Amino acid sequence: MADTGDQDVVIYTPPNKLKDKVTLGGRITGNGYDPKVLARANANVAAMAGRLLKVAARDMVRLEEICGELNQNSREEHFIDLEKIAHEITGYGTTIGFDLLTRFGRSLSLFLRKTDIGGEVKRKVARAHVDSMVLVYRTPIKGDGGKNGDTLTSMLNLTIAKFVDEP
Amino acid sequence: MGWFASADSKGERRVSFRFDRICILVVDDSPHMLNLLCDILRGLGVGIVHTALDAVDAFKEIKITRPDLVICDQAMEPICGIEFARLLRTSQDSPDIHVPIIMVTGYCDTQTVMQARDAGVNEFLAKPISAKALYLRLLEVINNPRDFVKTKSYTGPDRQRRFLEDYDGPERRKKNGPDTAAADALSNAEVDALMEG
Repeated sequence: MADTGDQDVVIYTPPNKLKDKVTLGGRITGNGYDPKVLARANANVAAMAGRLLKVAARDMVRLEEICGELNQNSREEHFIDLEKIAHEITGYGTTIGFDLLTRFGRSLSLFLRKTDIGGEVKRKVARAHVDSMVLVYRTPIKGDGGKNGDTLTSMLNLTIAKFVDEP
Repeated sequence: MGWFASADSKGERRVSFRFDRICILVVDDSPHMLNLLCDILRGLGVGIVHTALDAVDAFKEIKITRPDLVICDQAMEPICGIEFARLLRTSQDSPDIHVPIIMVTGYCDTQTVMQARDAGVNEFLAKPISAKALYLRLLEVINNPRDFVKTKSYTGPDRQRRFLEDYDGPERRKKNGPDTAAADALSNAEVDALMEG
């Protein structure tokens, strides 16, 4: 079972319990893909979308509230809260038909997690993302938004670059 | 739950895998994502879906329920998905070091993907989640299982995902020992390949 070519490395094939179960011990052959199974799963996602739309409505309100609090008193906890919501939005945006929410949510989440930028610039960049997401949701701009989506994305990128580059 | 059979446009008979026979644990600290993943899995016909909101709960669930597969989010607190995967693969308390892990991540950057790969994750699923993407990852884990590798610094599925028949270069692991493979960076193409399954 083990490859003993190198004393420090052990390579082996663990039992494939998963395959044994789903193929009834090998009695079901093929790759297992069935469009009907996928259709059922997609139907479940569609049913879930209604609930997620309500979540999105609440998240937009919360994003605006946090930005309002940031304007008055910028604290790290606010950015942590923003990042959590943005991360959630990244996950469900496309599921509810708002691809741009996923795009901007991911951008904000990555910015807040990875950046060393702080202070006023951080607040302004976060605010620009939130404004864009709220605009997408309330307009509403569904899917990738076509030309409007591209324009909005370019505007957000320009705004971010301006804030980051300004002295 | 029946034996799923259907015919495609060419009239070829398809027989689905019996997902009703398996148990999957979903770990995510976001209740909304948890619900979404569970709804998709139930739609796919998975028999038992357990959930956990964090890594500690997940460890307990695995000990009790012994799932056939674990789906976990990467950005969890206080223990992130990557650390959870590493613990599951290497901890002496691990209930099942071989259990396949699919990691859901909103961060597809090279660093995150490399860290997850080096923690022993089998497959990646980039957000936003779709039923098709999850279905395909599930089938990938089943249809293309990888050998397991144990070294001083790594335990998990073989990180070399594809055997290149025309590759005539040196075998790094055999030539230089176990640590060199982990230290090598991924190219963008390799990261894309990992994310696409």
